[in-house]
Amino acid sequence: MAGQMTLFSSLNVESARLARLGNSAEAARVACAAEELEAGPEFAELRHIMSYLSGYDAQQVVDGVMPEDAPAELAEALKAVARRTEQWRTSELTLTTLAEVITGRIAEVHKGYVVLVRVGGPATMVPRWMAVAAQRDTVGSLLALVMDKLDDGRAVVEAVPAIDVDDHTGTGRFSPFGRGDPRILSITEADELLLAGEPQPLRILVPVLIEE
Amino acid sequence: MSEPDWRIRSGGLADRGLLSSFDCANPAVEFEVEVERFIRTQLIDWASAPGAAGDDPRLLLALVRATGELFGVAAHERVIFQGSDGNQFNATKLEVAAIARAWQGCCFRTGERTSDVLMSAVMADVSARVPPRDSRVFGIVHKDNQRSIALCRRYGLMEEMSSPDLNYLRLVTAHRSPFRDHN
Repeated sequence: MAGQMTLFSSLNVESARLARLGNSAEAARVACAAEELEAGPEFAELRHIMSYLSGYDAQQVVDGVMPEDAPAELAEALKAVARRTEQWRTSELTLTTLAEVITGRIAEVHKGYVVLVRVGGPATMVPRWMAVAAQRDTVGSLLALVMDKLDDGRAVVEAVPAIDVDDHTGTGRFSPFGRGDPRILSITEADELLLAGEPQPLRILVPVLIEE
Repeated sequence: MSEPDWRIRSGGLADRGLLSSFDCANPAVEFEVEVERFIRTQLIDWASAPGAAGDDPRLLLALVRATGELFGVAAHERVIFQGSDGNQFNATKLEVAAIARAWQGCCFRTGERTSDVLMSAVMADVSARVPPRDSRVFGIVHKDNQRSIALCRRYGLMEEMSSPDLNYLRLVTAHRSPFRDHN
């Protein structure tokens, strides 16, 4: 059918990588695992939710961008698929040694590069155009670098959009509505630098009259 | 020119009943429930608190013109950011903005999204306040609330400040940096 989209597990990429390296038996095994995941309940839920999206929005999701009108369940479904995939992937030594993955959050954005900070780890600079290609070139975005070693001196690095799959069920005592909470209005030196400039004009996309 | 399908008005104490049944949350999504609970049980008190009058709290209600159905709720007020060395920055806090579940992702006959009508009302209201509000608007959004994050970015809340909590982002409208090259 015209415009129809089929979702595949990212394990197929791993399978192709193994095949490219001549490991056909492992490639076939990973391809089977991908098929199993695609037949599982997490993928079924994701497919169901995405079937209600427009073709454009569905492509956005595949590209790592959440449409603003997307249902909240979509993020949960994506996380469930990611968790399931990661569980399988990390249990397979073949895959974990095949390509190194560095995942972190963008902490700074500069003209030519972004600074990617690993959770609890060091920071690394990434060319900004790579973050742009992954649609993760804003502060706070999650980005993953997949490094495919070619030989001791060379590697292919692919920047891919990442999502947070952690279960932070304990939300603590913070409330975004706490008027007296100093955390809401206290700012850091970095914030001060950010706020020191001239605010851009506000965006009003629809003319609106407000009745008192 | 015909009137739009919606109308926006400021809210007050008389709207307590209207807000008490506002339905904007999927019960399975905690951060949505948190917003709904605030709107239903605290927003009127927030808007009418005597001690907060100096902050010019504003409650905006978005209604379907033909039926009077409440499809959106938003609120904002004046605040002052406090730096560690005593520096202060005026700003407007977008306290809450929510679309009723039945209207989420919907457009009016003339094509405007319900979310655009509500957010445009917020920005227009901030712009029209006397004395003038600082055009620096920020909101606190749960980090998993992708729809709200996308909507904030659509309305210029592009910059991420330090987080007040692990689970929340503090997004603020963009600034032209005084240190940036203007070439």
